[in-house]
Amino acid sequence: MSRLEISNVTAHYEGAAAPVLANVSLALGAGEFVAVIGRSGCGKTTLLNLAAGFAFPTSGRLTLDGQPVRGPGPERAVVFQDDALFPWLSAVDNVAFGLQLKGVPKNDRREAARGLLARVGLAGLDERPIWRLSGGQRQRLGLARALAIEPAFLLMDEPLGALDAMTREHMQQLLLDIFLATRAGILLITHSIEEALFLATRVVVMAPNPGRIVRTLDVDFSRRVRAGESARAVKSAPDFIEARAELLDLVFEREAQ
Amino acid sequence: MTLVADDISDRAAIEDETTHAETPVRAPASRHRHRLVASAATIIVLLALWTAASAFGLVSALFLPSPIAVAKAFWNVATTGFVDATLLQHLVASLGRVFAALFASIIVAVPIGFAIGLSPIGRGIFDPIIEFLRPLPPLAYLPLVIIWFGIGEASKIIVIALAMLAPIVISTAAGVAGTSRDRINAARSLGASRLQVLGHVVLPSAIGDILTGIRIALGAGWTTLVAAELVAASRGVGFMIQSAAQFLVTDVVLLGIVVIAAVAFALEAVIRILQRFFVPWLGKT
Repeated sequence: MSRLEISNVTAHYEGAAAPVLANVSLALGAGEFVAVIGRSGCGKTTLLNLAAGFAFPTSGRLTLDGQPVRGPGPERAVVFQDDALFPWLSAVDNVAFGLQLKGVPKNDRREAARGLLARVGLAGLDERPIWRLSGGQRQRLGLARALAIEPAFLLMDEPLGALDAMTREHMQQLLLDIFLATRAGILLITHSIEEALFLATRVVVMAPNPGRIVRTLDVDFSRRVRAGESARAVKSAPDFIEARAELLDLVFEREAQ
Repeated sequence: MTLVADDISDRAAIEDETTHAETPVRAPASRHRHRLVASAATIIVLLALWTAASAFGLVSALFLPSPIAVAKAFWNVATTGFVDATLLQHLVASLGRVFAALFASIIVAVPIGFAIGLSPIGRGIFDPIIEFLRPLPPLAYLPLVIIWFGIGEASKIIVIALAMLAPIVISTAAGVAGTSRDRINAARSLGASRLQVLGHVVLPSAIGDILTGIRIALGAGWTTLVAAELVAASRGVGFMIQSAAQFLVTDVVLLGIVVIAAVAFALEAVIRILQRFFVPWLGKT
């Protein structure tokens, strides 16, 4: 049972006096889906970069199963806002990349990658160069690439931010399916309150100047989808709308300050 | 160091401009055609002036042989040869030197470019050397290279290779330093070691820039060729021009110049095709 713990962390941009994050604490365990929302500049992405090991805090502790985080690692796969795929590799080889690093033989890793491509809805696009894929397809590919190494944690930095509304709904469904199937601990940075409520088991609201957590809300709408309710029914249920209004108020109230 | 940076940004600015011109709003085909027509007209007018000048005896054939005389010289040199070798043999000798030099230069320059692009210490070590070498005309160090390495084939190749070094180093360093941070981080979060990041992410990212450096270097090397072949060569296009000049065989001199220009043009085109083949994603992601 893996556990990623961020305790009392403060972080600065290089050379800046004011902190990006001040005294932020957050824990992420297996089977948890934490969505972080907040306006731009509240340090959401910095929080993810710390969790991924791409950046380091000025004070506070980050631990993975009790061990301090010293850098990135394959137990914490990242899905990037700008997909960060490798254009010199075909779709299937992008997905197989993590397995290639581990030394998995070519045929085996490509077979595994093909399975994942099918799972994220990209079956048959194996050899397609990635610059011939649409934005939505590229995000699916980024997700498949992360899933290929079977990470304990999936860290996602606004992966759906640049997608159109229709594609976004499909991707939300896909994320939910993957969460329910893998039970990986997921950290999702998002701008969309609805997305956060719909997918997460816990919604964290952040505010800027300095970046901090102002509200944590445990929710279970995704479990209701799992129990058989339709996505549309859940999203229009009274308690979903109420929770959304509450979070909207919270974000806007903070924004007005 | 500032010079290297300036150079890189200059080059980037130039390439930026060209890609911008190509990508967003494609110029109407007619504009491209107008340009081609203008270029063709320039060439025709120049050829006509040249023909007229020699036909009406405005300039002595000793100084300016007619285009037809040059074409005849081309045929003669191509079939029977000039100073013991056919045009093809001269060309093969010259290309052999340039490609041997390119090979040596790539082997040295690419690792140096990586060192500069990856680490401030690497930049500190190699920048002074590259900045010393970069503005030097190859003719300036040719005599020294001959003192050190003799008048044989080695010193010719070394001089050409030295001329090629700086462009490849500078382009490689720019490509390495310009690798997308997200892609590096993506690889690291997928479990890549430092070495794997270098081989699987930084190198493929830099290939386009390395090829650009090679293209510039081939130009520089080809320019140095004639100078390198002035000394104790018995074959090569540069040598051919030089010996023709000594006997005032002006048509062969002109022929040699045209051949050198044509080869330079062809080399440039080949590298551009290679670039499209190896880096097809350029400007698309």
